[in-house]
Amino acid sequence: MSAQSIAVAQPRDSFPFMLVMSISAHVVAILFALVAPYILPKRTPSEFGGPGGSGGLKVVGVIDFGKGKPGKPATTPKTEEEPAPARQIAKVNKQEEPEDLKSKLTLPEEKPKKKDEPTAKSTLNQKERKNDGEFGTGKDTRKESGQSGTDGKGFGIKTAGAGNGPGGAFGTGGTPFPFPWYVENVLSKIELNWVKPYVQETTPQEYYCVVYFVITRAGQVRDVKVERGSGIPSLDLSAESAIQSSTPFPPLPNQWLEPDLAFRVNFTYTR
Amino acid sequence: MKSFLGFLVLIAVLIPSFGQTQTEEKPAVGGTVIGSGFQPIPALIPKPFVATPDAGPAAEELATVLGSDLYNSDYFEMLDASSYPAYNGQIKLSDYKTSRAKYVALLKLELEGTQVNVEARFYDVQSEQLVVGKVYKWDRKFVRHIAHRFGDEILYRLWGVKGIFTSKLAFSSDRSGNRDVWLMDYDGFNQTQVTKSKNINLSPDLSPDGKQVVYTTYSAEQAATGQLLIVYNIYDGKKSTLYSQGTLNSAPAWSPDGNRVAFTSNVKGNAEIYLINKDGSNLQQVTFNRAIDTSPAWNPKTGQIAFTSDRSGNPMIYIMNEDGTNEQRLTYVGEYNESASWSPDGRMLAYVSRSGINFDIYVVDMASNVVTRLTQNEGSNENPCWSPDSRHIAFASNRTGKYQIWTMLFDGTKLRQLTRDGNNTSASWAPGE
Repeated sequence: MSAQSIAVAQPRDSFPFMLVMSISAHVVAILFALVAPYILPKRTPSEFGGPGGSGGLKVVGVIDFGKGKPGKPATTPKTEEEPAPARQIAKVNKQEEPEDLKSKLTLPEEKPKKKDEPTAKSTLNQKERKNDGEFGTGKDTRKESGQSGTDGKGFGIKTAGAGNGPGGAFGTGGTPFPFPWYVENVLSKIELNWVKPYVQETTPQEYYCVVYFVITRAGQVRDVKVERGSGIPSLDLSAESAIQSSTPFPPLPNQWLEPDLAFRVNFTYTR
Repeated sequence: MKSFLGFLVLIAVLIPSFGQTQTEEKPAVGGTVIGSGFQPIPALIPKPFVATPDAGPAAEELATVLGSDLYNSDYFEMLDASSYPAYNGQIKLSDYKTSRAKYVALLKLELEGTQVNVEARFYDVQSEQLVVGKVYKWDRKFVRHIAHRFGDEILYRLWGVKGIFTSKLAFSSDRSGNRDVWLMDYDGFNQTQVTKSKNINLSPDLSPDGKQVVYTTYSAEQAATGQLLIVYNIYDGKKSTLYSQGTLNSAPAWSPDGNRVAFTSNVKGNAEIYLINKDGSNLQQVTFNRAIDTSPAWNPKTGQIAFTSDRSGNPMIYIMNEDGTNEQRLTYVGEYNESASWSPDGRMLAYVSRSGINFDIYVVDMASNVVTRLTQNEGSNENPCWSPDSRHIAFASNRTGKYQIWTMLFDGTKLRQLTRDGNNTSASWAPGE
């Protein structure tokens, strides 16, 4: 009896047929499970971490999360990208070869070894899970800080400030911006790059100029405009130039999910 | 009449909407700038947590190098950590809130054979937010490099600047007996000989990507009377002659895109400035003057070239477009000005001016034309070159006897000596990886 005749003789609802089909389906499923991590696109941390629930929360930390093994959620800290391929100063020729160059100039391998991948035993990871912002896990680990939520995207605290510190901190979408250190550094970089013009007028003693601009995720600037001029063109121009000269600004914090961040900076010129 | 009423209604509707448009502000982060200048930010690096006892020396090295990097950047004021608790593996930022520290770096190390595992975090103390955290699992011998990499990352996350901690300097040194090209880290460590020959190798200039160096050497065939230009691939050893005609070929300078080299040659009799592709093709003369024109330096932003010429009687700094048009004299004060070097951001130009028998370094702000003298009464200070972040200047000085490579901030402060063996001159600075 040929195999073909057996197959033809078996009705589709018979037990052997169902058994073969079941085994085949299981084999396919197991194979798929084994190869899926290698053929499916890798997910980014943001795909695992939701934007959070109610606002009024405080981010106390974030860590760069690593690639991990393919298909594995990025719940472990990221290994620093390895530097350029191993390289060393080349020989001019054999006679001209300086000694001991390899040990002096060789840099780490480009590709991390498998054992270099971060593990769940990392105290860094455990700490982040317990107490710090665990971006990329789908959990909302942010702490209450007593402020009401807005649109579900809010990370919480408003940075409040006076003097030359950050004022009401909101992004372009009205979302509270909870990273006071970022705002302070943007302002300090502008301070560094603001070249005050010579103002001839004798009165008043103070001039104000308000400049609006938007920082993109990568730290580039767009939409720079003087919203309220001081009345002195050279001062307005110097304020605008200070923004351009400060570009690039630091990249927006990873935890900030908006694509950009708007600033409104008051340049105060005191004679 | 109806049309007039309609017009009034239209005005009545439009005025409020105009008013609303004028007064409505888009949401934005607010802040005030008063032009008080930038003050270094206080930061603290507590004693690192050592997870394996044998990691102690590596931990000390890591903390020391990172602290030195942050201090050298001039963005930070490093506080004494000895009076604050060591990091014990438990993140407790309240321990440091009594200090003036705005930021704190917490470092954990462990050794696994020859590998060091580093967990490095940088926190904003008051908000307790983690600015950046990194894990490094590298060979133990790269601890300094880990510190440099983490330092660069900190500057990038805080101010969006690319740090110089992994940058390299090429320079000319006679410490081996011959004048050769050497390479070192930005802080003077890892000084390594690049060329080793019986010829004199002078005026090295690193390509913008730091992978090639062009320098002047003397060919054996020309009996040490003829100079030629060599392009040398530092990391794969390929060497090629860029230009060898004439007897004088000196002061090579890479273009900002790394595709061409400007240099001085007497191939047509007089010393003039030429451009040439890095493969040796397309030689182009850009100065045509009976005086000596030499020492070209590119403006990385505009492509202009600054150079030295004695066409006015004494050597002075001039500027021209890269095709040789629009020549303008830049310096008028002093009797001997040369060695122009443009900051990578194009805002400043450094040069040397002779006073008596010594040279000193000056910087001119290209926007305001204000000139600032950076060195004085400290030997002869020559060959200024800018760091990739436009905040530091490397130069050669014989203030301690022999010529050594030093660095300082763009305002002349924070002097640091990088070399100590032999005579070392002609530094060239390129970004790291």
